[in-house]
Amino acid sequence: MLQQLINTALLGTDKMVFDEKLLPESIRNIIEKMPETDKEARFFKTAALLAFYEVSGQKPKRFVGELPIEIHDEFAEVAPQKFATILNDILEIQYYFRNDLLALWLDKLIERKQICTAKNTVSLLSLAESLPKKFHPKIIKVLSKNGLDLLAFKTSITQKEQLSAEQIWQEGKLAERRELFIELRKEHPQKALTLLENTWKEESLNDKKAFIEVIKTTFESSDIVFIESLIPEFTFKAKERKTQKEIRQMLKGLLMGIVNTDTYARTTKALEGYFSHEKAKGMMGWIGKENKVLLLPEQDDSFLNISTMDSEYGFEKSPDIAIFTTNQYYWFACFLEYLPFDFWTQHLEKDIEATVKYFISEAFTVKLSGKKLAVFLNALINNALHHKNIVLAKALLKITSLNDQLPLLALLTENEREEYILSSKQLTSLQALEACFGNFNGTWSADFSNTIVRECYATIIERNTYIPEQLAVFMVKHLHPSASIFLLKENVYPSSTNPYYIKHWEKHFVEAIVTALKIKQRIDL
Amino acid sequence: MEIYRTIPLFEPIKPTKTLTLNFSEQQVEILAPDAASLKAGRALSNANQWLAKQFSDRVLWGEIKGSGSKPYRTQIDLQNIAYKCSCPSFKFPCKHGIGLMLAFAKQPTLFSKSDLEPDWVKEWIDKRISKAEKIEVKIESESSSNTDEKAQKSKEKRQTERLLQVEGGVAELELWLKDLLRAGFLALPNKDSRFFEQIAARMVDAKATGLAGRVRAFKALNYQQNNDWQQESLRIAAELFLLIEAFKNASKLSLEWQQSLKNLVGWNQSSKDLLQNHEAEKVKDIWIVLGQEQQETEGIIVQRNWLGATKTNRSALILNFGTPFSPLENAVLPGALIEAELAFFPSVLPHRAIINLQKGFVETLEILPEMLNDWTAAFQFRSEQLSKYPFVNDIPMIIKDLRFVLGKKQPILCDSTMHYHEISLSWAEDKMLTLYAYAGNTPVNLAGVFRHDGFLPLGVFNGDTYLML
Repeated sequence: MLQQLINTALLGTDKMVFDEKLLPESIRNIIEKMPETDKEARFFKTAALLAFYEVSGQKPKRFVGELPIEIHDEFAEVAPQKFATILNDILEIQYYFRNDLLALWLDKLIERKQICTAKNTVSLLSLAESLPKKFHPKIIKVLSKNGLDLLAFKTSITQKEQLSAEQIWQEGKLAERRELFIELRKEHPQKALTLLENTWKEESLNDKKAFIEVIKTTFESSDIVFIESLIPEFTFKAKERKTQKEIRQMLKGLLMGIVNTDTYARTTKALEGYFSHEKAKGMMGWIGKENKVLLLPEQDDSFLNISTMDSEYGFEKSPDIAIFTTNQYYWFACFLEYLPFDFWTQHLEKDIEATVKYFISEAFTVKLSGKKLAVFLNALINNALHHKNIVLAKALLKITSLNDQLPLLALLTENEREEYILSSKQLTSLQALEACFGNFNGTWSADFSNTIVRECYATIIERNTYIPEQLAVFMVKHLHPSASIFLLKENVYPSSTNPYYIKHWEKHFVEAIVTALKIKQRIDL
Repeated sequence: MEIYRTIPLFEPIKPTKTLTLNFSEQQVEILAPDAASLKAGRALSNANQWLAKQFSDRVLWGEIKGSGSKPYRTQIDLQNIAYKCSCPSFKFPCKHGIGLMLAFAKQPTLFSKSDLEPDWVKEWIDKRISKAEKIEVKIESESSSNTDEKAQKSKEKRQTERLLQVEGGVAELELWLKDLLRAGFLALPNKDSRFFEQIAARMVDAKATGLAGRVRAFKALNYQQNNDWQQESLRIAAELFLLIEAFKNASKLSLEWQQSLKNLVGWNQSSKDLLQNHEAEKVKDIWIVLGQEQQETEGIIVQRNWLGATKTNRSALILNFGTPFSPLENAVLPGALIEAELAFFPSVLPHRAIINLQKGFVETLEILPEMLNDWTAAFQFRSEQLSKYPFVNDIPMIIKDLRFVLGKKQPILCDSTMHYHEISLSWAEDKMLTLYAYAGNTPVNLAGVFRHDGFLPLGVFNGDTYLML
């Protein structure tokens, strides 16, 4: 009936006549009682009556199939309204500043073991796609169970990111497992090692290398037993893969760094033979003074030879003869990097500073592109980093260029780092600040914070010089809260200042930093 | 201290426990006239930026440094939402108003309460109250002294002229519809949009804007996607024809019907006339502002606010109109509980209303509004409404224990008896996600609007609180 009504309308009343006998009796009765009129009016009235007849008599449809029956019991506490408000503010702040604050907000909720509100869930899910992947596991932790159901609907965040540590370890890709391993090493080193030990036999060579690299950078004395247990697996084999050799080098390097290991004992015993006494130069020599010096062989000997270095330590030949003119120099640099620095000071009979000076002296320098290059400098820097040797780092800071200094800065204490930035006049250098405080989660001292703010103001406003807003983003991570007051005071501009710089200063430094610092404070309160 | 306005024309509302309004950020966002104002307001939403920031039972006020030598003074009427600022902006609320409300929403503890309002605040709020009282008195005097025969005759003459104009337009539209049917609707997909716009413009000329809107519904149909347009175009045409026929026979119908039909055809409803009408229906109650929807059509912004009463089981629709050049002045706070008297425009099914008197905001729902048990009851309720007034479309209702289910074609809401109804396609995705994040698969008592293409959810009742989506 309805279809015939539609068909009549589609074809037109000139071509088709609607059969009123098809109508329900009640409607037909009304139509028949209507006064005579033209066929179009009659049709429209019929259609209107039928439409209301249909709608008025409409009943709800019955659901066929199975309803999703899973109703989550949510045990996690919802974060107070304050946090919902803070998130809204974070989402409104300038893009550059957003992610760091969001990470703080997520960490705070995770620390409080709370989940976000329903409205925050929608905001987070809408944002998730544009955030770096490292945010995904954190977002997952603050979502309610209902929120987790929405993940697949709104984002491409995979189920894997919702898995437990054990599940990720069993099923994840190398990058995911490596990330998990790093995180676990920070909080539960023993759990991380147990996880690795349990699956070690099934791991591929490449994966093994990746995990040992993590252990190398986060090495602790409790790792020694595990490292020593791996040595037989990576002993020299004819036609071995390069990765096998690289792993051997890392394992031996780690063991060399610990004085009570066999590797340390055997290696140092062999190296002792390369130190000898030499008559001191100048006046000191005349009075019979002798210096301990390093005498490396020009060619392979019983220890520094291709076969021993490869089979015992996994060391290859010199990779660059412009720097390491002989293999012996290269191998020695490797030992210099791994062995504790005390060994070198003892055998050269010098203090740390003098030992450093000796290793970068003329005797161990080459000329490259017209510039002098101390061939052992990198080994010394790596030694300081590997053994977290602050005294060595400080000695190196005195004699190295700014670029070489950067990796060493992280070893200094907070005060020393602030002093370094001040003395080296690197207050507005993002590179230097990142090197110093990149892995630092704390707050700068009030004086240091204010000095940096003052220097930014002077650079931008007084010297009309551009400083990228990324510096402001970095400053937010560490500025003392009192810097806000200082920033708000810096609102007097000389007439010589370019308006562009005033706008840049106000927008990216004053407004954004003050807002971001306030948000940080509210998160912490 | 409880403060509420008493207006001589009406009985004073029985005092109930009211509170100083606590805005939520979501509510302030809705009150913002546009996105740019909201963004600018957010930048001023840090309470510490405000030099002075205080509130009393009836006003929220603050001072903030602007580009001028003196700080801007911003005030918010907390009892009958209104704004004033000394800045030169023509928007209501301006960015300072939004900033102040947001700051109050976010950091209320940084605002101090003071019963001693500064002179500039007291002056404004007192003036607002006395102005409202004067309006009432003026209305009364106007209605009592409305004996000017000349003015009355002139008014009648204008009305007769308009009626003739509309009748001319209606006759043309009837002819157009019949021609369309004679030729067949199969030609509709090939029609240029000017085909519909021409007749719509003619209806606007004939002062029948309601009919113009219905003609434009043909233009808005999707003729490309599937064959749904066939039934839909017939429905639009049949309903339009029914309206034309009813209008032609209006003189034989009751006054309420005549009024309703005139409104549908395009006569505006005047709030002033409504206030003058002593017989107009007025309902005092605790009203829940269930939700809000804003649409822009042909340069006119229409804002719909649906309210539900807790004691009288009434529902109401408050409309606000604006244009891109004259933003809406939001006077209703979505999600809020207000103790107010609403005046309803006369109609067969009185639904559109204005706030006649607002006493203040209420903290908690002491009485829950009546809820329908399931979809069967909801459909039954809609049938009852249709039988009274076939042109009814958006019907607010609250239905118990609905479960949100993502259907194949469009999401559905399933009741406890395993019956379901589709969700309106106009429902925004973020609201859908919010509902699921809040309720998941758990049944909830859902407020919404039963409309032609499905149910439009507005909010969820959880105990004595209402969560607006």
